[in-house]
Amino acid sequence: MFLSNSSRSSRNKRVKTRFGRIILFLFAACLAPFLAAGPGWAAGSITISGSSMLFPLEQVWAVAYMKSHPGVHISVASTGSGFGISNAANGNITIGASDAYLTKDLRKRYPNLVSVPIAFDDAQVIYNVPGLPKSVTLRFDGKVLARIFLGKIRFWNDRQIRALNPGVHFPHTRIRVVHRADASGTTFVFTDYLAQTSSEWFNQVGRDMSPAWPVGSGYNGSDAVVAAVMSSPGSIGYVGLGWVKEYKLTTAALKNLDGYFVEGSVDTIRKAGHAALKDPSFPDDFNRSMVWNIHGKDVYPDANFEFWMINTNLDGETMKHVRDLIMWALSEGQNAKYTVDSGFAPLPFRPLKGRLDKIIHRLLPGNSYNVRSPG
Amino acid sequence: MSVVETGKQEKLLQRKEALERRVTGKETMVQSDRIFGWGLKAGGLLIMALFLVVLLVCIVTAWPSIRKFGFSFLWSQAWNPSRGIFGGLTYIIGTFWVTGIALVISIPVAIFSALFLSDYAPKWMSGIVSTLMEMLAGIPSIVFGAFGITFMVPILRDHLEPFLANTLGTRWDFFNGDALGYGVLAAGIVVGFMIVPLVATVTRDSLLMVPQEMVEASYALGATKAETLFFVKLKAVIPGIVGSVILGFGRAVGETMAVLLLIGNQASIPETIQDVGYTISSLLANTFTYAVIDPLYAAAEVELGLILLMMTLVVNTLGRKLLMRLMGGRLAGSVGGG
Amino acid sequence: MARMSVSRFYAYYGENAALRDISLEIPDRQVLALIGPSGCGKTTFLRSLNRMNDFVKEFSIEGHVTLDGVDIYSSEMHPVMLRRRVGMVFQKPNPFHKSIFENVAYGLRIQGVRSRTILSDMVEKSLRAAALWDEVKERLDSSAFSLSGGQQQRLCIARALAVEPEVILLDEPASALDPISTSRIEELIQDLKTQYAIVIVTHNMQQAARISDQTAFFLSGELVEMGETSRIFTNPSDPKTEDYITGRFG
Repeated sequence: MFLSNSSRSSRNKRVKTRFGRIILFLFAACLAPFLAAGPGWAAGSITISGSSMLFPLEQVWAVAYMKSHPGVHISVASTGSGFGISNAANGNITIGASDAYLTKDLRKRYPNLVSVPIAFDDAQVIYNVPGLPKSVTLRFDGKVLARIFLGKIRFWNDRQIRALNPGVHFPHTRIRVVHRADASGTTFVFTDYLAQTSSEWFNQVGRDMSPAWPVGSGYNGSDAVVAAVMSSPGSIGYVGLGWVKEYKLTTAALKNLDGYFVEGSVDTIRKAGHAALKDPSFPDDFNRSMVWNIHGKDVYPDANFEFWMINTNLDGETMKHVRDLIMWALSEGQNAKYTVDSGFAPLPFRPLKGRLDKIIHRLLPGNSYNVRSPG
Repeated sequence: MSVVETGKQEKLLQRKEALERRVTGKETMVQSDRIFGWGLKAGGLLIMALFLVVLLVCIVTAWPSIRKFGFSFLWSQAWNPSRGIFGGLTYIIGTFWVTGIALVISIPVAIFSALFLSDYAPKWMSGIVSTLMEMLAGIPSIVFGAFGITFMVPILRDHLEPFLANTLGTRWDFFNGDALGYGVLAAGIVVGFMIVPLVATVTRDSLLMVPQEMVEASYALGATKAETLFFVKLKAVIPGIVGSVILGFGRAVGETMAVLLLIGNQASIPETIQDVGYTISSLLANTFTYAVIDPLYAAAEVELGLILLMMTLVVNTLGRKLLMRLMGGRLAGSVGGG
Repeated sequence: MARMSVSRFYAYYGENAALRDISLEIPDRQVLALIGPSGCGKTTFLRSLNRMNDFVKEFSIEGHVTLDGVDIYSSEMHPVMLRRRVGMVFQKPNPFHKSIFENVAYGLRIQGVRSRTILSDMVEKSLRAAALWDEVKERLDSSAFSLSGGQQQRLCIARALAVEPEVILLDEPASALDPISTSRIEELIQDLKTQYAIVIVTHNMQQAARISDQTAFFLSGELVEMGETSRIFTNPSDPKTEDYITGRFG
């Protein structure tokens, strides 16, 4: 149609070519980002995305690291652990951040991913029981907690709760279960504890970042969970270490493997980490829960590692930058001003080192983790 | 040839030239019109292409779930990602709950405020209220959600929900739920607030367009103002109201942030008006970034998104049919009366 | 005998006097035609007879209009009651968005008539009186807008008749209609005057001459003269009337 009209003046042709140029320009403008994105990022550039929980820690790390390592550019994004894992697996990003380790299924689906532990987090139980003094710390074991979250224990003065908390007077108030609505690492570690300690929970719900909750109400983000628990009498929920600290919340003591009731704190979490890493049966790829098989008196039973997922297929140049960043993050980066201030517990270095060597070796054959511990 | 005649001829020539210039000018105008037309056509095609691409991508992404679960996806409640079992009924029903409550609450409020604005409010007041209403329609939904949490939830939890349970609830279990504040009622009320301006504005505009002759005819028969308003004007604007309600439905059914903050995000089918629930859009907002690690999980969520799209399409089509029926007589009338 | 009487009537839109010093009698069971050029105030006058001007902003009146001796602008007569007794048909057909049946029944329904038999009887009677019954009796439930323009106007007349008024005001009722519909309306008016007092505004001199018993000629807000139609059209007393009806102006 454009060319069929033969009686076209030269003026019209000019109009046409100008129009054509505009079209071409627009077309090119649309394509440009795709063309430019082809070969990927420059060698000194590292993209980290994934877990929204790790995002604040990664931000402060990125600022500090870029200051001390000129020439390296780190960009950080919060997209959720799911995208962190899948994007790292298909090479869209350099590092995928995840709140959870790779389960057997995921390892099968993404065989080229290596998980590197980079910090500790946990799940702590918070509650709002009418008439209970703030000084009273409630005690739960996995079985009772699971029955509460399954909706089988419905009132606060239930015999099973009273049995764990002798001397505490409970009101006859309905229990309102509060959980996370979005997929969350806190949920993962919390349901992990329930699944490891209660066969009822293991069979009916299981462990997931976003499980099928039998009862309760869900809220998007830990802020909303805290708000819901605090505003609704009778509520019980769970949040991570950082939120407990920020809102100065009273949390429950959970029963650990040796029968001790332990409250979550930086100290008890690190003790759990020590115990796990000292255990020779704990896998070198860290792909197992820390809740499992951890003995000790002051060991908090509901803590987990936070992970960076690295694709073994990264090119050598990028991999060296990644290795340097991991080494920095696990030494200098574990300083309390980064980790504790962002709501995490620092990793204990010494027991970690032997396993880290193996991980680095897998990423960059011939290399090992040879940086000294900050102490 | 006389001088006068030469002058005349010159004038004629000039006019002819001017005419030719005009014609040439006209021709280029036609040309630019055509180019403009191509541009518009390209825009139209782009929109169509965009719609098809989105639809296609959705169907392709959802295919594993569609193939595995078939139609049972629509009536199965089982949703267990870690076991790879998916059924969307809980979320579909939750979506209807919130939308239903929102419409039940907003339609009467919107119609009464439209009647007030068009017929009762003094001019200065209707100006202010109309402006406020348009501003209300522009408030981001997250703000409505925050308003819901800080304002509606405590009122519902401490007053309205216990009140409903103690009055209507003694008779009908439907109202006899646990007063949590969060839930389908809170989400429905706040979404209702969000669509009031939409329905009210369209209804007010239609009311203002009702012919004065029709109103006078009612007065001339001895009708009072209220009778005229309810029996003549409202009747005349029903197509406008239906249209705006369809728009409102579309907004309510897809509303995400405000609902997500208020509904309690619990995958269970509400049995009472106080219960928590889950809608399709809030499920997707909460878990889609996680669902991507498992193709079947992601497929199930995208399939829910497709169902949402179908719901709006069906309501739009039904609404249009209804409008046609309502307006059928009117159109014939305007032809006959012409 | 006069059904309504108007004395020393003035009407104002804001500061402007639209009608000045009008005095006339509206006879029962006759047709009174109001004629005059556009803007002469005849429609304002018509609408003053059932207070339809009340809805016009800044409209005010002086003088008296009585219906059966009661001043319609006094507190003794509520406008709603007045309009039930003084019905009106407008220039353009203006049915409601309802069925044919409900259009006619509307006036009765708002008076609180609920009985289906009474409503049916009154609707049939009014439609027969408006010479529309035979055309619509098979489809009373279809929309009023499915009727032709002429039918719609007769429906509007039936609607006005249904509330059993005493006076019927017609504001150029045939101006929007074709000649056949117009002649049907004219026949209808002839039938109706046996029971009602009728006031009609018209621009059509032949129509006024054909259907009215009395004619009042308005000019620039004043009543120039009023009298037997036959006299006004053959032997007007005022030269301005003669100029107008012979088409010399207006």
